[in-house]
Amino acid sequence: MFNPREDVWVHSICDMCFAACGIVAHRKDVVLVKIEGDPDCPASAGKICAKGQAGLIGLYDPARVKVPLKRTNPNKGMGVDPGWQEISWDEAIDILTEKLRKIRQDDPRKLIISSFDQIALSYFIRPVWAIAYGTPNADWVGYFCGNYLHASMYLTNGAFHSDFDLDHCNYVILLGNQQGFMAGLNATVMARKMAEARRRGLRVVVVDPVGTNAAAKADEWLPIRPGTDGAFILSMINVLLNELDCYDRDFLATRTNAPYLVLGDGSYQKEEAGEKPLVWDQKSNRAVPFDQEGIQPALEGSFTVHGEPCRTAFELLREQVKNYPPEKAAAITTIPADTIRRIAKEFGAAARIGSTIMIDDQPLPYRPVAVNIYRGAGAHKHGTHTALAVQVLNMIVGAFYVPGGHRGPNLVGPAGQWQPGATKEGLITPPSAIGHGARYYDFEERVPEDLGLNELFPISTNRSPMYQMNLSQPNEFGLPYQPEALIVCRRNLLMNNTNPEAIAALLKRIPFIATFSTHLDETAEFADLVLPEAFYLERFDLFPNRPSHTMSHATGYFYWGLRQPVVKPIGQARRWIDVMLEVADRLGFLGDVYKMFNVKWGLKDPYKLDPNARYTMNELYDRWTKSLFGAERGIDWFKTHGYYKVRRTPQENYPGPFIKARFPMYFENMLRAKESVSKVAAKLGHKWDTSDYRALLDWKPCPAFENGTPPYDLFVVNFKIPFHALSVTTQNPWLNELAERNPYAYKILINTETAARKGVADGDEIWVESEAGKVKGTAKVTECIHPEVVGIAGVFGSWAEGKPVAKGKGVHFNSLLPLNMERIDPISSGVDSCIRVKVSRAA
Amino acid sequence: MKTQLHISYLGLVRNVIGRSEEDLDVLGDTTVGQLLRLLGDKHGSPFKQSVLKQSGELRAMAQVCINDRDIDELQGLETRLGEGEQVSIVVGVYPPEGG
Repeated sequence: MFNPREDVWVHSICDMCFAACGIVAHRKDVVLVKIEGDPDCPASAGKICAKGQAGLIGLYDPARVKVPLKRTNPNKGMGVDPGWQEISWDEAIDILTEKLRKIRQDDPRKLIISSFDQIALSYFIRPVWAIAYGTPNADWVGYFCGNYLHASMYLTNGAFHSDFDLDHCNYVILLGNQQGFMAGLNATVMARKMAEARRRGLRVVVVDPVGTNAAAKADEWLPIRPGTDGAFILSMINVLLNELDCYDRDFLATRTNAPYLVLGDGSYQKEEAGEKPLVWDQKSNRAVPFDQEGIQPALEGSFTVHGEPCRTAFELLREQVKNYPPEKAAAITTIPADTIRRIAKEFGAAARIGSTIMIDDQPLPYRPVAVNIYRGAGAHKHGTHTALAVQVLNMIVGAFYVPGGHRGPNLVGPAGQWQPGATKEGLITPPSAIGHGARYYDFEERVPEDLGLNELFPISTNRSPMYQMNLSQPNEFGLPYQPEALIVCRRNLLMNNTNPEAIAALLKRIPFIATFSTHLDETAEFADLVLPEAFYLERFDLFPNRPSHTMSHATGYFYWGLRQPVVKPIGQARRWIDVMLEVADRLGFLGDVYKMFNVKWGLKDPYKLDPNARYTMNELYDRWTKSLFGAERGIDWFKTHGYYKVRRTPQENYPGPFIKARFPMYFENMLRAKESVSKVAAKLGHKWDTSDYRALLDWKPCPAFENGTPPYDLFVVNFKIPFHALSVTTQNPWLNELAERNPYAYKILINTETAARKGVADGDEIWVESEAGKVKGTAKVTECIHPEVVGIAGVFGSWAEGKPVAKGKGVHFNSLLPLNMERIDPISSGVDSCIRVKVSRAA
Repeated sequence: MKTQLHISYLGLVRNVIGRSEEDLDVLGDTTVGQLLRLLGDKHGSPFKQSVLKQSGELRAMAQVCINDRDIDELQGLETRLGEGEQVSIVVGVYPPEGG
């Protein structure tokens, strides 16, 4: 391996974003000279994006951290020189181990781990190492991307993400996302599929305040006022149900809880001696359990059951959305009422309700429409309701897990390895393999013991903003311990959270911080110990393409691959996972880690790990692959062949008709969550806003909607450009060159009319100021943004000395965002990422 | 007839009961649910609060595995335990990540 005078191509997997595309890397004379897409990978099929190609220059970045560093200056702050001193790995691990030993003996919950490293989060650190160590605080990740979304998906589609069937879809509404335009799940294959679908005639409608990359290529771009997407969707549902009478009656009656009978207090009417909700059977003209065979459930109507009046959930929804006539929604969203009616009509017609299609000789329902949501539409206060409304719209036309429609990734696992479950009410729950714990139907009224405050946000996958709240106000939620150590890898807390000065203040209070870093970034500047992290082209990661979470059906396969080192690590870089396993060994709990691997990875005999043995990473991966695929497919097979692939069956691609669980469009569980959260908050002595826990969907204005007093008269939002991912790519020289040549990447977008009103010309330096902070940048005057909005791309505007390429480039959007309880989604805890600002020319 | 089990406590439950494993003799044909009640009696309130809801069901963030297999994939709390089986009780299984 790594011999001079060799000329080889090596299978590996990109890590420049979460799409995890397969690559082949050309190594010549021990130097990486080219990266291309791996033709054998179902995700990339021989194609790779700009980020993927630019990985090469990132590998050889002279600014990388190459040796362990110890802080000598005890004073910490933004721009304060840490006084780094080079030390050996032995000394570094000694320091780390001793800190962690003392904390574990005292109270292991005092350790926080913050990372967005998908391999570590999925397989090693969060679900195994942290649990074996004993801390629940290993989940301080991002605040924005899908915080409100993932729980909404688990609740409605039983999976982690939102996706749709580009192989058959004819009409898609992209709501604050760019799926199919080099963003989102499996970006490369989705872009290819999108191009094929457009040739076939797929119509794309983008609803977004910013004329994004996707909007520029769409058939129609609807600029919407930020934070109002929910009103738009509820109005579309209103038009479909109450004006057009256009809905999939069979689907709603048999595959959702729309026919369930609901009492006046919002709860289900149930059997007198049982737990099953009742429906009204039109054949027998009486109330019967929802799952009784041979019935014909009524969708509409009012009935008296057990002496109590009740109505169907569908009828309640139908009445609820009458609150959103297009004229009212137009005033909220700025999308004209006739446009809302037209889009709803086009969507309903394109759904072809009642039609079927033959897939592998099987007739399946054919609903070639979808509305797809991601960060832009939901990263607002009340964002959970927006995401749930989107799901209900997909259900209204039956476009749910059938050809052409919405689907979550991999509800049914390969060869039936996993299947969704169902509650006693018959509603879908995620398979344990993809959402253990994400079953949002019963709740615990106990005082939280984790920094995320799990019990105060029981319908959420991630409560990272609460870490910040707890750290900045240590006594606010009565946790019986105070954090004493923070370990960070692949997560830039200062760049990617809210205003960095607030983050800096709380980091200064944590007694010990260790970061595993490729660069001395803004967060590493606050560390006591910096350990050189391996770049992905030097790393060994199994299954970055996670079949359970982020692998789109669009790939056509279930597939498993290996990220393997293409070159030797530069300097003394090591993978942090290896280091953490060594620390576990020194602390005496590596055996517990191995036991957890046996559980987490589902290892079978004879490949189970012996808690008393010691294994190299190669041996661990060899056992895992052999346990899954047999003795002939160990790690060496993957190194040589790249991928093991299994073509998906129709049942795996379109599980809707093949599963029994129903999809909820009425959220009775929210009422129980409300009660539970109220009790937990009361135990903590808090008044808590539980008004979003509603069984029926609603739209409520986020703070920015209501705060438009001049001079803070504009909204600011950020948006994604396809050749950067989070802040980790900003230091890449080639991607920086692309951004410098892109008209929008490093600029502040302002609408032509708005700019004229404020006396701003294209190229002017301008200030954008919110209640939390101010940023300066170059104005890009454009028609490609809503007139009430200014737009800032990505996560630029770095200031760390250790990122010389990124430093000072672009504008740091998050500086404008505060964090407080008024500005989070009360269900998911996602941070509202639009705020009012004033814009002025810089002197 | 007695059945011997090896029990591993992993994650947050270890913090509260102060041990990471033990061997235990139970009656033959004991179910997982019965075992959890036995352990609740043995280790008291800290164990019960860490692993179980008041109703006796598993907490959402708790997981029980028999020979490293999640009881969700077996017969849940009704899964019967056999001689020499390894029982892992894990607390701290949060839902998968999301930013």
